Amino acid sequence: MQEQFHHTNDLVTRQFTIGAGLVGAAILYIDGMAGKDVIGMQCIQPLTEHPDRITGNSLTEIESAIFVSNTKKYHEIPRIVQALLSGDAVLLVDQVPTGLILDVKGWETREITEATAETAVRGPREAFVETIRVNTSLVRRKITNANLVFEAFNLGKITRTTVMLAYIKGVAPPELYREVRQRLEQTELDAVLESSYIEEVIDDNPLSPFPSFRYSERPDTVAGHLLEGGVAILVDGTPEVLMAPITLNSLMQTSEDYYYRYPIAFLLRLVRWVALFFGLSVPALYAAVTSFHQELIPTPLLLKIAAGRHGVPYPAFVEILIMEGAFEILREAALRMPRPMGQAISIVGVLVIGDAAVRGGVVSPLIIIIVGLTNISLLAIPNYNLANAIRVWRFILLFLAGPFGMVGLAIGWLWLLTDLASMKSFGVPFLKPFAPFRGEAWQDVFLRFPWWSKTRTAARTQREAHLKRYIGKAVDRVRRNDDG
Amino acid sequence: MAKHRLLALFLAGSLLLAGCWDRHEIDHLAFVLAWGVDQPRSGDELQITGVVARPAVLAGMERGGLMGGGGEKPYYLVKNRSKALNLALAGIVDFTPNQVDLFQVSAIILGEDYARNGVRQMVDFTLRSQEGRPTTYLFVTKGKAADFLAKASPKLKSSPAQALSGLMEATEGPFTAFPVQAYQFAKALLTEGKDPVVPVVEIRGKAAPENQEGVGPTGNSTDAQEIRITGLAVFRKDRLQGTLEGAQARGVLWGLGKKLRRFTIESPRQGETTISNITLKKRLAADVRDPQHLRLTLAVTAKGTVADWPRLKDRFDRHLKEELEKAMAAKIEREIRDSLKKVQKEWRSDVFGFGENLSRHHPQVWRRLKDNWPQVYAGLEVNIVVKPELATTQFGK
Repeated sequence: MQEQFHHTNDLVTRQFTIGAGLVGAAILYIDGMAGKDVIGMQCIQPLTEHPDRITGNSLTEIESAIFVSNTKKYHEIPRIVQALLSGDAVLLVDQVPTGLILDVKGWETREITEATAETAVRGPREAFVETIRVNTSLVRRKITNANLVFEAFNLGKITRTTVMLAYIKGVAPPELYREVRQRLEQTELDAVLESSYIEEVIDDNPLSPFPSFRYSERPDTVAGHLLEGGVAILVDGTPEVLMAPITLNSLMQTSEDYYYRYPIAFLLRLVRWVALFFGLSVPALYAAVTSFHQELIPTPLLLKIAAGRHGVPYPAFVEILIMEGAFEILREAALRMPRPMGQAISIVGVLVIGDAAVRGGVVSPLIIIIVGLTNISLLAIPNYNLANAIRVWRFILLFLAGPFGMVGLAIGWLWLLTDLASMKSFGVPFLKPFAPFRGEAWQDVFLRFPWWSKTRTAARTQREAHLKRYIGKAVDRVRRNDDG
Repeated sequence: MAKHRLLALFLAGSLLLAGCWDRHEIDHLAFVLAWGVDQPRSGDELQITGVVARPAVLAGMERGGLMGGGGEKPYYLVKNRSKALNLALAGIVDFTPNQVDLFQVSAIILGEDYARNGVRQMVDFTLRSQEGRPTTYLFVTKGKAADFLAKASPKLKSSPAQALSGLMEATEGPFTAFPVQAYQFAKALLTEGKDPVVPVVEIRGKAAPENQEGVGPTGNSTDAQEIRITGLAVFRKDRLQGTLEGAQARGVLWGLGKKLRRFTIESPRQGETTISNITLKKRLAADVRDPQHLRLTLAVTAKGTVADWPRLKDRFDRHLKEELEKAMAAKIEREIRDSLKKVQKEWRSDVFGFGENLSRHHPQVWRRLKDNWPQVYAGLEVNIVVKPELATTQFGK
């Protein structure tokens, strides 16, 4: 056995004798992964404490003597190795060709802490952790139902990471989880260090900056998604859970929307959609309008802009590019730098780049407002992946609007819309319910109809029917393509 | 696939419609906010005066407070002359280092002499030129437009253009005129049997004393020099006939069915009373039974509210309403008749559109008369009917 592990330092072998017959036995485990106390108290102690009560002749006898609740018997070496690697202990008995696997996993884990990336004013505070077992229990606690199913996979040729597919039988369409299961099984990865590895290999739109999955660190968000008929993918070692299928609309929602009173949720959602538009187009619009279409600006505002731009050496397009670039650098620096330096960076960012640039007349004051507004807007988008995709598109639009004006911007918008309209996430069109138009689903787009509204309940069943039909069709198509 | 490529090529090609070469940075443009036009005699060159904004001065003024801007105006005047209006306007470019932009023009001031010579070129430019805007406000000034723009120094707004459009957009509005935009002017001009009117704008009041110690605000008293809307200019076709002021201008307002904020009537018992929020409805009619004696009718319904009560105890008098209504009707009729004397008899200008009404309801009669309609119209009798309605709960039963 030690051979298999190349005499690694953290593999512990404890040898002892069992019972009156002095049967030789050894227990193996990986230090730090298995609970030492449990092994000592519940395996070794019962087997060695009263040698007269136990013979040690058969594995079944030994098994019933120890106190570990979950045991398995394997005789293939690779399976035993795998069990050891996932934190179990193995009991080997002299003259017996079978190893007894003892589930004594007990490594150091991070505590369940408050969500940091997706904070909420109202709603549960807990967030997922790196241990998949804890995460499944967090979801299970939200959905106390026997129909909630977790399917396990070991992905990554080298890392053998545990990945779980979660869905609610009877709520999620069978075509959907069958499809996801099939894709998971077909993955060929060496390592799965983060859920994004999985995300990338089973992605529907690998070339698009827009995500095909939504992720969340909040168990309530995941539970909500499962209840709407979606599937979730949990990856060991990742405190975020992937969710599919998604639409643009679902990326713009937060679980908190459902915890507020519905008129307030309506306002918040509206603000978010406005922020999406701002974050996407405002710099491009500014560049197009001030350089090409001055007649579109009301006179007083125009004179203000002209006054602000007096003496600025660069065209508006270059000006925006400089400031956006500066902001991106600042943002990246703020993410990467050691935390104690944060204050110094923000002072440099605000004072030097912002104030001094305007005072020095290198950029106009309005640009600072625009860059600030756009970037704050992006922070209002609940999904970080979506915000990043919008960031990419903002630059594409800016590069079209700068040299080509409104015509360029219009073409950019068209391009973006056609791209979005052609995208699908596990058979569900990305722009649903806008295109294809689903009137009844609009109750949960800008508005959020209250739970008690009858139309909403009716719509939900209808929506589920639609979902099933879509996915069914898409999967059929994929199958046909595979065959032909 | 070829189809898609073609489409992509087409889309990419359309980008070239507005390429880098059409780009004008905002600080490289000279924004004309208003322009005036003069022409001393018919056939002379047109004299253009453009009001060009100086944004940098504007910004400086704001930083130093509106009054303490070092005395520099946030705009300056550019003059140019040419036979053709569009050439004269385009020629301003020779006088500014920046490219001229006419899209922000909010007011056009027509000098009296130019207006008398005919304004067809101006209408053509505002409606058909790419740079003209049909929503521009039109004004006629007595004397020369250049002098008006030179003398105008608005106290609250940063340029005469903004002061003028402000006057037109203010909710209280002037008492004797109403806003006329270029397209409205053109509509009246192009309608057979209707003539346009335009508000008259003047500088009135005493000039601020020169060499005053310290530059202080001077716009406090009502007679300070300021841009005022003083009346209406009446056109026949595209030529100015004359201007009306005060009650006579108001007569035209009644007849056109415009709104009026307030006016004063006199009644035997109440003395002077102010009527406010007057809304008007007008209806034209023509009696063609006797082809030799056409009779025109102008019916006006005027609704208003009594704004003040000089003698408070009378307000519960049930007859008072009738008395006030009668007085109001009489005054409105008198004012319309007064203005018709000038507009119809003297200037032969059909501002109310009797001709248009005739052409709609009695096309045969109109076809016979339209060739010398101004002459026919001037000789016709107009029957004026005013229906007053003072809607208020203040009268008791």
